[in-house]
Amino acid sequence: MIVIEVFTRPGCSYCPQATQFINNFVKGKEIKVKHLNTLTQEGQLLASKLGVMAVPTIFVHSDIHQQRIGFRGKPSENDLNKALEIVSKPEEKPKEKISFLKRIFKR
Amino acid sequence: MYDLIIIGSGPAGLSAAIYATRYDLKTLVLGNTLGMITEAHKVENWPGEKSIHGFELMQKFQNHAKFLGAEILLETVVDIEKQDNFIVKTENNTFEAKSIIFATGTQKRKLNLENEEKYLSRGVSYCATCDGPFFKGKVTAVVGGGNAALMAAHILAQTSSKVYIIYRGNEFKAQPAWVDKIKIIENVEFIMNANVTQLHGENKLEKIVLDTNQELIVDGLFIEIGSIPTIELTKPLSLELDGHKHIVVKQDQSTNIKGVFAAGDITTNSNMFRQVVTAASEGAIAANSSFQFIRGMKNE
Repeated sequence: MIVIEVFTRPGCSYCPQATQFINNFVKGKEIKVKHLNTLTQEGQLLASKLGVMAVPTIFVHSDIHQQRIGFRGKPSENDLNKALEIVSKPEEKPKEKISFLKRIFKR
Repeated sequence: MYDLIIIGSGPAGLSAAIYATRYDLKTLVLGNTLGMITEAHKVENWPGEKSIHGFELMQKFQNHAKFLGAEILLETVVDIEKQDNFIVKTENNTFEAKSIIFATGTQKRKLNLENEEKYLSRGVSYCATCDGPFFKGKVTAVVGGGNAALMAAHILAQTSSKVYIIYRGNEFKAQPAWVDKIKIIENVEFIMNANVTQLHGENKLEKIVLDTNQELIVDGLFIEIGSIPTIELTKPLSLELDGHKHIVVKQDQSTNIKGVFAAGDITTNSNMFRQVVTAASEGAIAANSSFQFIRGMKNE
């Protein structure tokens, strides 16, 4: 499941447009949107954990991809699609390091 | 087809919409914000409201315009063309109207320092109302000496451990009411006759340097040094601008292009006072002029 987190705050003049853009963007797509008001405890906690220092800030992530892709302000549709493409693929696991001896002796 | 398209949904645009709908003009308002006034945490000079948050005031404007029948869309205009009528293009739609009111307002002026963009949302901000609470218990600084700067310091002082106000002059140009409020706040320190010249920090802002050779350890820097007109959309119509890039308007808010009017902070009118009350006033006049223009078209 892909998740888009939208951090906003009342009084932020660019937040309503970012919110509307995300709501329109996800229509018909299997994406969960979490609107996080940074005045609430939930919003504050997650903003603090993710190092959010401004609103609107948008993050895209999924359960198969650990990396969160973040956007400051409203992203372009193209950039958001690229982020979706990245998080919808499983993250490549780093190759296990095999010692020189193991490689030589195959065990 | 609309009678009138208003570009901009701040005080001037929404006031124009209120008047235009009462003149029975089919009116569309296009804008991506409710104006810079939404960032003001206190508006104390709008008649009838002793003290109101800027965002709340603008929601009242918006509800009023909607109640009277104005159509308001949260869309960014990307192009305007003059054919028989005016063709207005947004990111997703195209609209047509007999008359246009420009009420696109202004945008925050930047310091234009080398790393300003790099630290944007990483310590540098242009909106204390929006981003101030992220600096709870931290040290912040505000650059500027006008109403907006002192208002920003007032907001920040409530949550920051310390707030510096850095101003290039030796006397604030803000209204005395704001200066008096700031002077009594204990965790606010004034640094006058100084300019920020450098920004430093690894992944986020950590230090600023002043032209007095002073170095300040800060987590946040809020830039409130005035605003510049948003003029990108005036180019396709070749609207006349003054030396400071404001749209030149006559007393009736008309521009050099027939059928195009302008109102609010973007114009040369109201003695450049830049207040909600003057923007709303210009919006009302522009709507009246647009109505006269459309009525004239009908009578031709």
